[in-house]
Amino acid sequence: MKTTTLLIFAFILVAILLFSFQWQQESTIVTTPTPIPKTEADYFLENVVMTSYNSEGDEANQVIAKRIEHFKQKQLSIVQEPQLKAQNSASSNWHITSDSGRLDHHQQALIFEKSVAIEGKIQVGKKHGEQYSIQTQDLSFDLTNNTAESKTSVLIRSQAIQTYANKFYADLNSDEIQLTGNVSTSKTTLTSTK
Amino acid sequence: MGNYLGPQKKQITWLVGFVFLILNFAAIAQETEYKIQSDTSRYELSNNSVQYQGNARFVNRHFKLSGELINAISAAEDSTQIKVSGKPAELISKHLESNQEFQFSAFNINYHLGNELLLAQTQIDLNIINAQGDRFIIKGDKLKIGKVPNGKLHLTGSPVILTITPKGKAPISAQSNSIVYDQQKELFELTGDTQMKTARETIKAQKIRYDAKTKIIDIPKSDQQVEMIQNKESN
Repeated sequence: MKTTTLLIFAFILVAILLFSFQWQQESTIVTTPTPIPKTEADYFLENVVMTSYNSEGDEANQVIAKRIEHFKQKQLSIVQEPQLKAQNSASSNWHITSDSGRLDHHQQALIFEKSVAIEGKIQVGKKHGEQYSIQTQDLSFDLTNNTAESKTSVLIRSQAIQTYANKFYADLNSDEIQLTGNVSTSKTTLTSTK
Repeated sequence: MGNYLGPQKKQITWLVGFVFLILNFAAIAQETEYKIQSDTSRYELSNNSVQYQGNARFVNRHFKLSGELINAISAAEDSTQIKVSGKPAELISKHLESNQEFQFSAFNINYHLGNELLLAQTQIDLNIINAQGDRFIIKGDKLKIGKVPNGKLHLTGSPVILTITPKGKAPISAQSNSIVYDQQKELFELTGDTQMKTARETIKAQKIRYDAKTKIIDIPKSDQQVEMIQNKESN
């Protein structure tokens, strides 16, 4: 009788141990994270939205990115698919996008790289907002001062008007764009040759 | 058989459609209305104006404007103004149909794109060469051209000075308060304290007309006195 009881007890113990082992195995599978891309970054953020406000409490600009990898020692972040929405005056607002970029924490600048596109709108008096677009290869946006600079050739398009220049500087506080080096503006119209 | 021709018919329809599309595209061409070039520019978004600085040039199919500074202001879609300033600013135009060309310099030139009106002021120095090779030089204070490049030229000044140099002939000099030059008729009309000096005589009248085609001087009938003085040199 004692032997039988001991056997039953041993059987139950083995069953509990086996169940416990099985449960641990299952839980290990569930909690294993998906592989993380190899990076030397100190940390990274995904689907980022950062909003900055000016001294008056109004929204100054908004940085949006698919992924930001931060390198603490270099005070630098690598940004995937950066976007910037800047609105600093009643007459203009900008939406800047590019394939990649860098966030320089020391300079407080977002540097857009590869296929930079700016979409803007001008509001002049009672006139409806006039859309314009700016294309360049790199652009540094000063997040503190709301200024942008590009040292590569730039193309500005507004309706039928196109402007090319070698360099570009914009100040959103004073609503001014300065172009330097072989500035050329042309207006084209579609005409029927029939 | 009917099933076999089905895809062929479709292909033909697509082909015909494609050819029509290409023909339509070919019928629409892109034409450059104007071009502005400079060393630098400043775009003021708040008032939709652009300042082109340093070796600034505006070119359209009728004329070329150049100066130190071009200010392009676009308050409304069809009211763009091109303001050129320089020491001096310059316009060069050639009318291909009449083979007539004119060129002038002034300190300020203002061109309205919508109605093709041109206004210029301060030290106007205008040169016209017609198809016969006759040269006309006009100096004045203000110039207005109703429709560039073929419109009438209105010049005012105190006085406006005109020098006519017909090809192979002695020059004629004139002055008045205003001069209107009709480019189509090649006719000069001088009004207000007009004085014209040819090799033979000096004419003083309220209004004098000079036809550059026929080289005839005409004094229209008026109540005011006309004075004609025979020059001593011609005797």
